[in-house]
Amino acid sequence: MKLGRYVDHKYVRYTPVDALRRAGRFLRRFFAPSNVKHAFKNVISARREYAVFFIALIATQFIFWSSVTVFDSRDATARAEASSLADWTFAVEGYTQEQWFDIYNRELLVADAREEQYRGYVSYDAEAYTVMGEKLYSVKFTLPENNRADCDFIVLKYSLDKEGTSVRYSPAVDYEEGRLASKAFETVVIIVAGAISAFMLLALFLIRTNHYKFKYGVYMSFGADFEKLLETAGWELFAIAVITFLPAAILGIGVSALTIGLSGGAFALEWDRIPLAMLWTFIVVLVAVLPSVKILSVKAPINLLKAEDNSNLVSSPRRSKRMFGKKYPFHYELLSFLRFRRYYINLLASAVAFSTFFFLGNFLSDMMIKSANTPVPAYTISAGEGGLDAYDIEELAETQGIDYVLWENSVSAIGIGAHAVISRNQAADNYSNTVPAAYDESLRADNNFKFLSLDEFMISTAEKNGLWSVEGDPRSALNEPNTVVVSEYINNSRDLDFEVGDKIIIAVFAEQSGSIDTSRNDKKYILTQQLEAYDFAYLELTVGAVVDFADTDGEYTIGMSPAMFSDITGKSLGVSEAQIYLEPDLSPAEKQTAYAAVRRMAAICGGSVNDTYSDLYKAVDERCGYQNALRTCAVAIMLTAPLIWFFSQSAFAKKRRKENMMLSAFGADRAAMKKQYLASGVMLAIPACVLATALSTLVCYLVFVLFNEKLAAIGVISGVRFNFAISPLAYAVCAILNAVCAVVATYLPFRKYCREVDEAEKRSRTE
Amino acid sequence: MEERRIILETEDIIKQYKQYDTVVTAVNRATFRVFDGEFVAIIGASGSGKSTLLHICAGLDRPNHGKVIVRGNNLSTMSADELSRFRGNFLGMVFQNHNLIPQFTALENILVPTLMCNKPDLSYEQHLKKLVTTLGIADRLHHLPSELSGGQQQRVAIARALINRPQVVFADEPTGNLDRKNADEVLELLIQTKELLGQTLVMVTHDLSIAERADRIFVMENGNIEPYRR
Ligand SMILES: Nc1ncnc2c1ncn2[C@@H]1O[C@H](COP(=O)(O)OP(=O)(O)OP(=O)(O)O)[C@@H](O)[C@H]1O
Ligand SMILES: [Mg+2]
Repeated sequence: MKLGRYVDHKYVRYTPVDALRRAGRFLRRFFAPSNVKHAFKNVISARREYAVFFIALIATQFIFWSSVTVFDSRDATARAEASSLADWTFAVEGYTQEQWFDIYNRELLVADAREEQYRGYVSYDAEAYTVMGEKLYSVKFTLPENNRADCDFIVLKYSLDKEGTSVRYSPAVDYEEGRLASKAFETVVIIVAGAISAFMLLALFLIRTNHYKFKYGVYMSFGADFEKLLETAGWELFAIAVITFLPAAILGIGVSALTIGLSGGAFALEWDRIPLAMLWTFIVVLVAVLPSVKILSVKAPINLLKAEDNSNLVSSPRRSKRMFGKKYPFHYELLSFLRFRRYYINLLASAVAFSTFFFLGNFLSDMMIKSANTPVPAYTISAGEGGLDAYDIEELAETQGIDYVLWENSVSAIGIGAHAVISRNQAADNYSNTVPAAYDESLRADNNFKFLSLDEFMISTAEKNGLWSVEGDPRSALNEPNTVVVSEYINNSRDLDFEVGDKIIIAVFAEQSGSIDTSRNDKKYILTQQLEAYDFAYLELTVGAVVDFADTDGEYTIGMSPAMFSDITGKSLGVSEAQIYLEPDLSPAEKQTAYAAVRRMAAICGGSVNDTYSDLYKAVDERCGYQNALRTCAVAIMLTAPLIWFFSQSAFAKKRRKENMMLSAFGADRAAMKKQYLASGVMLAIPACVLATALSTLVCYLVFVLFNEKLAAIGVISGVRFNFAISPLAYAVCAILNAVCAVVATYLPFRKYCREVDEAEKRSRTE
Repeated sequence: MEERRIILETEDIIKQYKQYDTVVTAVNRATFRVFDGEFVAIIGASGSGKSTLLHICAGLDRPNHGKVIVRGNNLSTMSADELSRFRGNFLGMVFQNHNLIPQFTALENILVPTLMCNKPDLSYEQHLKKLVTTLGIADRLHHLPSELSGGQQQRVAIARALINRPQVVFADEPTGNLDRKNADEVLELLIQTKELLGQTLVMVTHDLSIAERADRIFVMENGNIEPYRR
């Protein structure tokens, strides 16, 4: 960017200090009391003209306030919930009696004698439990703060970490750990809301400056530069922002507080949101005003002055000839559409854009609900070396309070140098991981899958809980020879297309005959290398069932009997990770029982338990979900779509007044003119409906793909499979609103014109 | 002839308007110069490009080709912003179709230039009083343009052009809507202020008897400008 300015034909470069000084001077002039007073007086006295900006600024600030209210309330709700779930800060589990006594006698007894600030913890509490006849201890520590670093410090300080033990953090610590990520998310939301708000105000402000082009043209003819225009045009919006600040805050906070209160969350709001709101609004308004004024200021004034007569209106001399022999009003108005096409395109684009935001808000909100309703395991067990076996898992699953247990014994094809040979039409068109197969050049080789060991218990768990959607019989993999089940999804996108009864061939590494370049980590490249350097043993298999495991993995699955699994992969049948899902609405005591069982199982297999605190996050989502705020914001944005329609159309109607007068001077009667404007409204309504629904669908689809596939691929969204469905209600609201607005916003200004003409007539008669 | 400062100089100005496949050349290689303190009249048939040329000289429009130098400053190298400030500080314009802001009263319209440039106060009050009384619009100051006659609007436009005491005044048919007597009065005012403030006056007119009062007369024909031979 060039920093400088022409002064008397010479370009004078500024130092940054000069620039700052100039900015300071501009701001001082801008905020001069006379300016401020003038602006306030102006917007208040012309409030009808500015009504649209009042409403728009309330809507934008409403979005801000309801977002930050949700953020802060969510934070408070989560803290309250977390501290109600545990009165300790971290726990060390799995001490043997000997280990525990050792720590207690050597470290803690001494520490207990010291003051709290020196020993670092408030209190601790040991609890004994028995696993396979051995007495183990779990020790819960309470610290002054819920801070993971503090916990780790205490663990280190008193050498609490011993062989066979694991550290478990309380929900509160876990929550504080994730706070940074949610702060980042909040920042993103505030920025996105700012961008949408700025866009909305920009659209409205462009309509306004366009309407007042002539005035600004005169200003510029007599010396107004960019800064001067900004002063005259920009202040109005700032004044409105100041006036609406409080009402918008009350409305935004009120509505959010109400929805949060109704769903049982705790309302909270930080004081530092107030300066943030001011800054946010200032920037949003500035971003809306700057481009509009800049666009004006670079134009030659004469163009602005001349534009008044045909502002924005394009007529095309070639088409005008078609006016001959055409009828008033319908054909006439059709031609008007052509004449005013630039204006109409702008209008449709901005009105439709807001319907799209509404739609998107709703759609995202639906996605959030879906995501919140997807079950999350309460605990996961990471098993030690031996792994968990089928009996362990069955035993766990039958424990009181545990709903079901999921586990997976799988091996990636690429890890064992295996691949599948599939036909071209078994892969989707955009699936690009395959290379020509060595087995048969007309077939494709693919290594983007994993082998999964299936058993009866797994299948029946899935059936009982409705976890999979299945085509064919998954038990055929267990009961019939050379039969497997396959899945089709990779990162939530259906990249493969199998049918029950299809043949697929699995190529298993037999021996190496050449060397391999392992420098690149690209699956397809590795496969190409393997095809050249390896010899394979081929197994011809039949697809017994096509199963959607509803996972979001980056690989599809080929599932088989445990025997076949260990034959192919050479891997033992131990399970390295199990996910435990609890029954809903357990009492704390029941939960404790379930947890004890899980802990016991982890101890048996020499592994550790990870508590996901799913019920904490679920409770927060239920009481203080984003989805309600998102929906009210979507509605707030939707309500500004009529603003655009009415504001724009009534400004436009003023430009057509002279045309109306001429038409009636040359013989058009009221009835015909009424038809003209109604026709115009209908002609706008049709493309508005079509465009609004089409664009909304498109944008929602893109967002759907982004969340469902792209974000799943990089692991941001895991475990949730979204489906692309838009509620018919949203379609209806969007279409009806746009259609009604188009017709009414076109017709009402004409009515107003008629009334004014009648009044003028009456006045002249009585005079 | 004594050495005189050139205040306005144009070189080879071309301005064309394109619409589909027809091209209108409004100004065609116009070259002329005006000296400081001079009163120059431009006459010519309707549609010969007088207004267009005047707009370009006043920095309100940009030519497709050519150079305009005012007060030694090349307008075509100036940014839009600099041009605006330049107009505010040094130039005054009376538009042919007045271009008064319809929502503003006559007085507000006249005061627009004083608001737009950041020149220090030039005792507008007194100047304003003199302007409006001479122009005969003192009792019409609080009316909207739509409530004024064509001639009155024209005089408001003249007052607006002069309020800032610009160095160069461009006037596009400032007497077009006035009767003989009024036209002479307005012309008198323009010449008087010019003499008083040492202004330069460039005036487009149809009226040869008015043009005759000028120091020099140019005539425009098909976008070309030539000195007028009496
Ligand atoms: N914006 C425009 N688009 C197309 N043509 C234009 C435009 N402005 C002016 N013209 C054309 O340029 C030519 C010169 O116009 P201009 O207004 O300068 O004439 P003029 O000498 O001032 O006439 P008059 O004495 O009637 O005011 C005319 O033929 C006019 O039609
Ligand atoms: Mg003209």
